[in-house]
Parts: sequence; C-alpha cells; structure tokens
Amino acid sequence: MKKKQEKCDVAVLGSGIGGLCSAALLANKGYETIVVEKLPIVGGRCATLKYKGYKIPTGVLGVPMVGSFKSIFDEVGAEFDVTPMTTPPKYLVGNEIIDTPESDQPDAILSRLCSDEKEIAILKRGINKARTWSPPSNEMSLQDFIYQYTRNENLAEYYNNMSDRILSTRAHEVSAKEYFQSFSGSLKDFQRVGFAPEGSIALMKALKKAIEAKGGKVITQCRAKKILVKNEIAEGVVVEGKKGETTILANNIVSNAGPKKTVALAGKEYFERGYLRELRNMVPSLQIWVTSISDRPLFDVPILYTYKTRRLVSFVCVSHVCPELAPKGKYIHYSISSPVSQIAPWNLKNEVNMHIQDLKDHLPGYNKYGEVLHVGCYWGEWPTLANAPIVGYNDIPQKTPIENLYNVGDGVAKKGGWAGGSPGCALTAKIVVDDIENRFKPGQSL
Amino acid sequence: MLTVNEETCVGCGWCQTFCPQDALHAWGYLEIDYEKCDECLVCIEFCPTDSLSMTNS
Amino acid sequence: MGQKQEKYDAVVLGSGIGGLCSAALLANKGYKTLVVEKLPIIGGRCSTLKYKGFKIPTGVVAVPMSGVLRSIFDDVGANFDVSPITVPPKYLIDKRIIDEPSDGQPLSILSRFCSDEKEVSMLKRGIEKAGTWNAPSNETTLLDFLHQYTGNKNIISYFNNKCDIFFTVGAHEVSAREYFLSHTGSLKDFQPIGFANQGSISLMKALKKAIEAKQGRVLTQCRAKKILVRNGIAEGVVVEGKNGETTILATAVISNTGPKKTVALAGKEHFDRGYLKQVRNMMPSLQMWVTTISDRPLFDVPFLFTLKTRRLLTFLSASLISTGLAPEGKYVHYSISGPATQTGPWNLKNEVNLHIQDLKDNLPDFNKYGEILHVGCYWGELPTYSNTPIAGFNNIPQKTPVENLYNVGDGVAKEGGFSCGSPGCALTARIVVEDIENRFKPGQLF
Repeated sequence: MKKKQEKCDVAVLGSGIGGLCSAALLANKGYETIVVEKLPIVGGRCATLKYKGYKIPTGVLGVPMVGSFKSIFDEVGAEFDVTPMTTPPKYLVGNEIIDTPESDQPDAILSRLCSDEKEIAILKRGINKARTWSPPSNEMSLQDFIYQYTRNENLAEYYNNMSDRILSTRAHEVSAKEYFQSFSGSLKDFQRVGFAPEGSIALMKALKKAIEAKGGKVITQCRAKKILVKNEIAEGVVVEGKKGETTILANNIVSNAGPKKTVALAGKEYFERGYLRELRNMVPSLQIWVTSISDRPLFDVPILYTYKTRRLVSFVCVSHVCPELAPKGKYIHYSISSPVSQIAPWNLKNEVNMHIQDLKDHLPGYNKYGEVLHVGCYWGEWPTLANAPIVGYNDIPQKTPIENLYNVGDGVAKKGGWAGGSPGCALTAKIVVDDIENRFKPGQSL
Repeated sequence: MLTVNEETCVGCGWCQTFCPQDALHAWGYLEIDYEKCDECLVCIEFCPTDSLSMTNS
Repeated sequence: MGQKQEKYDAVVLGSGIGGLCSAALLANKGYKTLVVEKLPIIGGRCSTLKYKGFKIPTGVVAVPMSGVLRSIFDDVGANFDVSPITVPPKYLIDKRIIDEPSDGQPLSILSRFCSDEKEVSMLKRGIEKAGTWNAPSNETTLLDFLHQYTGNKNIISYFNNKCDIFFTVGAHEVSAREYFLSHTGSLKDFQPIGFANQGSISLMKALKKAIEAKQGRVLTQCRAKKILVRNGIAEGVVVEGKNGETTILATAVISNTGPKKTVALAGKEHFDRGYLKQVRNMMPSLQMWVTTISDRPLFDVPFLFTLKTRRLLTFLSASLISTGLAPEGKYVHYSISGPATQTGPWNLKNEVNLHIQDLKDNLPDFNKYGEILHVGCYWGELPTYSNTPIAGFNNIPQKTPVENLYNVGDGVAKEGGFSCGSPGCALTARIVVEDIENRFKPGQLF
C-alpha cells in the first residue's frame, strides 16, 4: 500500500490560538500552510460548546481588544466580532457588594478590605516599586512579597484573587516576578476587554477563513501521529485523517500541542536532557468553569470578583453584554474557581462541590433562580495553563532543540505573557512567524 | 460499551454537550448513563484527551 | 562630633571595570559622580601590579578591541592604549604543536584534532545549529552537548580548554547555553584582541582621568561602610576615608563590590528571600596566574593554548606584543590554570604545584630559561568570576530589590555576557547608566 504524501511550507499541529494565529500570519505572507486538528472543531481552549441552546466557553472568555491578539486579526483581515464591556466590575467581599467607580479601583477596594490607612500606604509603595523599579525575583512567591509589607489577611486576599484570576495560581505559589511583569506584558492588552457574541470559537473560525482565503488548509479530525526528524531537522509530520495516513513534508513544523506532546510526537531521543528536565518541571494548572442559567440576570453587572470565598474567584454575567450566548429571554453566567494549591493533590469532586456551594452561599438569588447547566474542569493533559508560573518555574523557549520545529501556545509563553492566556499565545505565534520569515521564503526548499 | 479512562479524563465536560442522548454528565468526573447511551461514538470524536473508547462486553 | 556630609547624583562603590565605566559614562552626561575605592590603587581585577620592574595583571590581560568596552572609551574620550595581536594562536596537545588554520573558518581547527571526518562533520553541524537555530538549555552542560555528537578525547579537550579560558569552568560544569550565547555576545568584542601596552591599569587610569575631567571624583583608600536605605530606597552611603567617616547622599548608588557584598553593606533585611537565594547560589570561581620571566622569549607566538595538561590552560608570551610590560631585554609570560572542578573542594597548594609542573613538562624552554616571578590566586572573596556560569545558574539582575541601588560588574553580567569578563562588565555599566538616565536628570533629586 502506497502512502499518500503532501508538501507544504509549514505544517501546524493544533488549532488553538497559537496554531491558528501562526497559520493565519504565515498564509497571509504567502507561505503554503496546513493546519491539522485532531478534534472535529477548531479552537482548543478558545472554542465554544453549544448545549441546550446555550454557548459555553472552553477557556477564553474575556477577549483583549487591543494588543498582540487583536493586531493579528487586523493584519490578516479576519473579522473580530467582539462586543466591548463598558460597565466596570463589582466586588463581592464575603456577602457584601462593593460598588465603586472604576477610576477609584483598586484603592477603594483595598480600603474597604482594610481600614488601616498606614498599612495600605506601605503596601502600595511596595507594589509601586515592583512595577516601576524592578520586579522581585522569580524565586519569590507573591504572598512572600506581600508579607514584606503587611500581614493583613484581607489585603493579602485581594492579591490572591487577582493572581488566581490572571494566572490561575494563588499568591502563595505564583512567581512574584511573573505577576508584576504581566502588568507591563499581556495584561495591558486587557485595557479594553469584550466578549464574542457568537462565542470565542467565532474568532477562531474567522482566522480559519482568513487562512483558507490565502490558499491555506485547516483539516479537522486529522491527528498528528509522528513528527519526522532527520539529522536533528524536522522535515514533516505523519497525520491520520478520515482517509487514513498521510505524510506531510514541510520546511517548518509549528506545534500547538504543548511542549510535552511535541516531544512525544518527535521522540524524546532527539531532545537534550536539560530541555527534557525543564519540561518535566512544567506544572499544568486546574480551573473549574461552571455555567449557570436562569430566567433573570443573577447579578446586575457583567463581572463580579469574589473575595473571601472558599474557591470562587469570579462570576461573569455575560448576558448583559452578549445576549446572543443564551436563548431569548434566558440568561447565562460563567463562574471560575481554582484549587487552593496547584501543586498539592486535590479531590476534583470536592473542588466542584465547593465552587457550587460558594455560588449558593455568596450570590444572592442563586438558590432561588439559578441552575447549573454544565461543569467543565481543565487540568492535566487538557490544562488551563500548560506551564503555570509557579515560583522558580522555567519559561520554555518557542524553538525546540530540533531545527525547524517550534512550539506555540501558552506552554511557551514569554516572560510577562502568562496573564489572561490569549495575548501570550498570540505573541508566541508572532515570535515564531518572525523567525520563520528570517529563515525561509515561501516555497523555498532546503 | 462506552468506557472512560479515569486516568486521563479531566472532566472538561465537552462530551456532555455533544451527546445527542444526554447520556453523559460531568461533575469533575464523568458519569455515563448506560440506559440512554446508544453508542453513536460522537463523544469519542470530540474528547480532547482521548479518554473515551468503546470496549466489548 | 558632627559627621561630614556630601551630595552627589551618583556614588559608585568600587573602581573595577563596571564601576569606572559607569562613573565615566555618568560624569560625561553631566551627573555629579563620586567613586570610592577601598584600596590605594584602582582597577580591581583590571589592574596591574609592579614587581621587580615587571608588570603583573590582576585579571584582565587580553583586551577586547571592539564592542562595548571600547565604545565607552570612545564615548568619554579616554585613551585606549592597546596593541593588537595579529599572529594566530597555537595549540599544544600531546607534545605536538597545532597551528590555527588560516582559512578563517572557526571550526576548521576541529579536523586537526580528529581525523575522523564523519565525526567532525556531525559535530560541526551540531555546533552550527546551536548558533543559528537555538542555543541549548541552561540545564545542559557543554560536555553533555558535545557527547551528543562525539566522544573524541582530543576534541573534547579542545572545548574544555576553550570554556575553561572563557568561563573559568570546564565543559562538564559550564552551561551549554551560556557557552553558545557568548559567541554572539561578549566574545564578538575580542575581534581583534590586544594587550595594554602599560598594563590593564592604564586603561582604568584613563577612565579615571575622563571622570575627573568632567568634575567627577575618584577617591582611593576610601571604604564603603554602609549603604543607607530608607523606605526601601537607597539614599546614600557612609564611607570611611583617610580623614574619617563621611556620609554621602546620592540619588543613585552603584555597587561594583559584587552582589553579596552589596547585600551585606545595605543590610539583608532590605532584600527579598528569593533574591537572597539567587545570590546565595552564586558560585565564585578560582583561577591561578603564574608570571614567568626570562631573558629570551619562551615561545614564539603570543598565545599558546595547552590541551590535555593536568591544569595549565594557556601560556601568554605578552612581551612579544607589549614591550612595556618587562624591563628592556627581559620577557614576561603569564600562564593560567583552573582546578578540574569549580564546585568541588581543592587544595590550593596542590593546584599551584600542578600548574608549575605543567609548565615544566610542556614547555621545553621553561626549565632552561624560565623563572617564576609571582603566583596569584583569585577565588572566594576576590574571585575570578563571582557568578560562574555553571549549568542551571541564575543571572542576577543589575537592579537590586532596593530602589536606586544597582550592581555592576561580572556578578550581574547578562546572558551571553560572562565570557572573558571585561565586555560583560562594561555592558552592565551601560545598562545601569541607561536606566539612570531614564529615571532622573543630572541634579534632579527625587
């Protein structure tokens, strides 16, 4: 039996943000590009599940409306269908709602959490220094950093919630360096944030369309079986689609499968020990997404940040911005939680139950009108962040030890690029595409 | 019979949304209602972690 | 007794390359600058001892004639009195002398060490990849990297010698990443390479002159006693000179004393644990310098690299280039060795004896005509490198956790900047001065 063979400039494995952004940029620059996705739908953790007439996100919810992600859509001419959020968030501390104008945040929140002005002033001075002078060391946790200035539990809780929300890791584990670097890094892109009315998958479909308009291909239900390596150079990939196995020969391979999977696909004999050790130290993080529905909004603004709960960190009443995500007359809400520790073992059922108990205990009206539609857990092989920025973590480079084999996506985010996921992933795509451009021209064979 | 590999299943709940029979329920772990499951295989196609399979018996 | 007080824009502690380069750049830009040096002579490990009419280097011998160090001299108008070396080096291996091939290809020398063309070409290919594709992980040693391609003892001895000279640490310990990054980093500055005609101290004196021409001051025999910190901000330094203690208030404090000493001077309570951990992990390295004199040259080219010896790494016939280093009719030679391991304990006396035995065994003319003038060991508190780039090492940032307190020098070299000391130290000065310029103007107090 003769095996089928195809040739292209770049083969992209996986259709997450990193994969589709790379492919769209490359196709737009004239590179013959093929994306293979093992699942029947594109988007990975930036997809949308349809269930009983509602739309459920698989990861990306708040979409940054400026910065690296958005700029790729502009560059390749893909439609960016996102409705901006104009109402500022509110804060729930215990059972009390703090309603404060955006311009006063986070000062107003901090003084609500702690009445000792002096303690707040000392803390703010320290935070300011970390942002304007120099971020603390990667060997220091954010909690240790905070404890330099205060032991006030309420103040610490503010940062706990913040780092959990943006880095899926609590203050006692998160690298203080990455926390502060993210403010001049990927968080800047969230200065304007919005929601995709057709779900985040619509953005990924728009990229797919842009790729196809330039002659690129996006093949779903096509699984990468093996990355082909000869003389330490990647030269193609064997994929298995609906019609059997095909060998795709390519000048460059861009993997959006995560660095560990990339190693498994190519064979670990091609990777040096130091690199493998860095990958072994990667800690994937867990987040739990609960989708709740109701006949009336369960809260009056789109975003509520929740403090002093068992697990819950935010509650998103997205129907206020995008009524399209639920059937007419219905409301959809997403709530997010992480375990207390990303390193320690956890009991997933307990984690889910505590999340839901938090909803019942802290959100007024939830018991009467709310109903759980769906529970999604993202961890392990299907994580929230593939390389959670835990104290002392390594950031893995986009280039692998195998020539012409790149990784993209959150597993290889740059320093300052973890927060909020999507901008960091888009940035890895930009970095990789830049490098490919410097090394190869479209259609140029080795 | 539809089987879930509990070692690799993370409980993302994707399968639940694609199941035409409403036979799957995710709550951290996946529960399968064998009364409803008609072995249409859609859930297997959509499982991101390859944790679902059809086994004999 | 009222303490004396003075005010400056910047005070620099220590007059090594990092300290004097920073001060010269700052004074040249109009900042009121003071350098304090505890010793009666300036230059630190870029100084020259005069002994019985001969000049003995304290660290820097070979001077990079292009790149960052040179550019600082040009910027501030300091005299750069260095003679270039135009003769290619030779290699001594198994009592044979090997010439550097004259084809200008840096890797063609490998064929002289190993006749197995296939093995050499595999290795060349791997090295090329590390340079043009991606440097290996910081967790990989150079030896592990080489072992991917070859087990040839001669070839490995070549790399062992190279990295022992560049980094003071053998291939089995050095970070493969730093090794390769240095080729596009600080090593580039050594094209061409030269010797200072009047010893390296003359370069430091030229910087001192440039500082004084711009109203800066360089005080010798003036020891820093304490770095003053208030609210996490450095505000000055207490020094003790010939006329007693003085408090110097300064907007920026630049320490060229090494990160550990900086912490001790400011008080470790001002530094976060993670930073202290990184500083604790710094590994100072040992090198031994033996100065040999004679009435005739002991070797015919200025640079001889000695491979497969017990300890000896290189033998420099400096008088062949700079006649000012020895009295008329006399010749001075410097030889360098490091211990087999920088992480293990060593017996210093044994190390010196093995070095001298190597000279006797490998240089035929040494026994007949050579005479040992001086033996200098640099390690521990006066190390060769204060942060040796051993696999898995951290590079320490120039900014300390204390605001407005910077480190300069080899302890805070940048990635790719560790090799051969001087350019990396000069680069830290450039980085710090640029940051100071961005933060405040001359005469502007916070």
